[in-house]
Amino acid sequence: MIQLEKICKTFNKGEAAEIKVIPELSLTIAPGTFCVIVGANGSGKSTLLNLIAGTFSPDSGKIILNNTDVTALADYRRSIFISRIFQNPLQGTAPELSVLDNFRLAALRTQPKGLSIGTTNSFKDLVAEKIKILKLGLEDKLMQSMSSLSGGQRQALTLVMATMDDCKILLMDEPTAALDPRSSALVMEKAAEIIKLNQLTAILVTHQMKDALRYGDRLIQLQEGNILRDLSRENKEILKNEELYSWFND
Amino acid sequence: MDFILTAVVQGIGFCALGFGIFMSLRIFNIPDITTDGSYTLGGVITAVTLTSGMNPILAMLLAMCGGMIAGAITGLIHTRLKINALLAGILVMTALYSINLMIMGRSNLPLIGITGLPGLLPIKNLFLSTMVSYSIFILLLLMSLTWLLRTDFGIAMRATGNSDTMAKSMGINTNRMKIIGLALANGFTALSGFLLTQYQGFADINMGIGIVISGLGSVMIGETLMRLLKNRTIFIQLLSVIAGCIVFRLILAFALSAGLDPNYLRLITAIIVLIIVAGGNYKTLTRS
Repeated sequence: MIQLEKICKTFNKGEAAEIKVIPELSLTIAPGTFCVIVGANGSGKSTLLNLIAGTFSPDSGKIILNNTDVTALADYRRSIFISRIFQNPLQGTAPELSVLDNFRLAALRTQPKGLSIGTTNSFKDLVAEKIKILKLGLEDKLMQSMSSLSGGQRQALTLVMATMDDCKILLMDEPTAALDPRSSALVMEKAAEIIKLNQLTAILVTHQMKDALRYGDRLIQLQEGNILRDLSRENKEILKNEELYSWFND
Repeated sequence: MDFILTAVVQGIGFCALGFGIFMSLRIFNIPDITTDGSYTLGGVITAVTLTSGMNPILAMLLAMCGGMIAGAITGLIHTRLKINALLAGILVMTALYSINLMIMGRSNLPLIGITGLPGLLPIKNLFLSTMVSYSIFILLLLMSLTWLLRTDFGIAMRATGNSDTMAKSMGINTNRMKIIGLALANGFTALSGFLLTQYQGFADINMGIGIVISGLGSVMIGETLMRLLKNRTIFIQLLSVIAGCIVFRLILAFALSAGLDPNYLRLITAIIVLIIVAGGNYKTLTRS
């Protein structure tokens, strides 16, 4: 569960370039909900995700994840609750490390990384097993460096990495923005599958209206840091494509 | 022939420094200038402790601790005070000059009649025992570093230097990791100070000047050699550092034996490093 209570965030406070990205926002996303957030550029979508993940802290307000107040927790500590998929496929993985090493870290996301060698043969088999669900044949490329794979492959792997360790919350910031249509479709389908299978509470920020319509149980439109529209599953299902596009002409 | 053997032993002695540079530069992407100071610090601690009759193993541990503290301070300045890593290194290096003088009490301390680490071996010939003991020492260091970088902690360390965002999203405290990494790197550097001080028979306040550049040069020569290989495991990468350190000393030795004025040594060192770095950028340079 994700709870935001009266969150405010201003950048460059007191300077000429001061910008109030989120004036005051409260939002509760129930456990197991796949929530899609749309909005024009500068509407505060990415800021919202970064506030939840702890990349920066709010000026005021509270952030509660799974009934724990995490407002004062540093970003790397919040990874106990959160898995992230970044817009740039390069950010979610370490390019010069092997696929296996990347997965090893993902498997220890909520745990200390100790002085033992964890990339054993049995771990290798486990990773190969997990990667098979992507049906991309990547299970044979475990020892290759991440940088040798395409953006789509890396993004798909990041998704699987998110489920390597206990994960309750998945944050996706335009995960398909850098991908071609075929890879985008693949990544989105796998994401929906993984969210359902693991009953994750998920937020997807997207500019792809088709994805916004097709995926998720709840649809929110942000405008200047406020919730302009908030559609439940039922209302979302009867929403038409043209209607969604007209939201952006207000 | 003698000068070749001498260069090889020196090269082996500098391998610890090579490992240190490999860690700071290649794993954490930080050109760490603290190296100049922590190398001297290692040498100074060695000279002071050995002349007071301390066991060489204990002296080694103390030298390493000294280097680690210096590195940790650079790491703290860089991560906590958000000061550019290069500047943080220069600050600590400058401060270490006075610290080193304070520890030694003067600017040069000879080790007369002290055998040190090589003396622990039952080999009469000093040159041979130096070569053997230094080789064993570096091999042990190679093994431990290979092991460390392959552990879960080591993977986290490599991820920190490779992608900060990814590392943080995997729950890694990247600031703490950088502090630990710089501490280890300078600990290794101080170990070279420990070995070379015994080899040359004295510690000198200026022994570290420009040493970071020769370390960078060695690591880069190693990388150039490694391009010949397809296998790029951690072990191979560290092995290439060793090769680079020895080749680098051989290049200098040949230059000197060909009649080069020793005063030009650092100039030659800088030019060699420049050629290697620029050589790596050759394709992008010709394009513009």
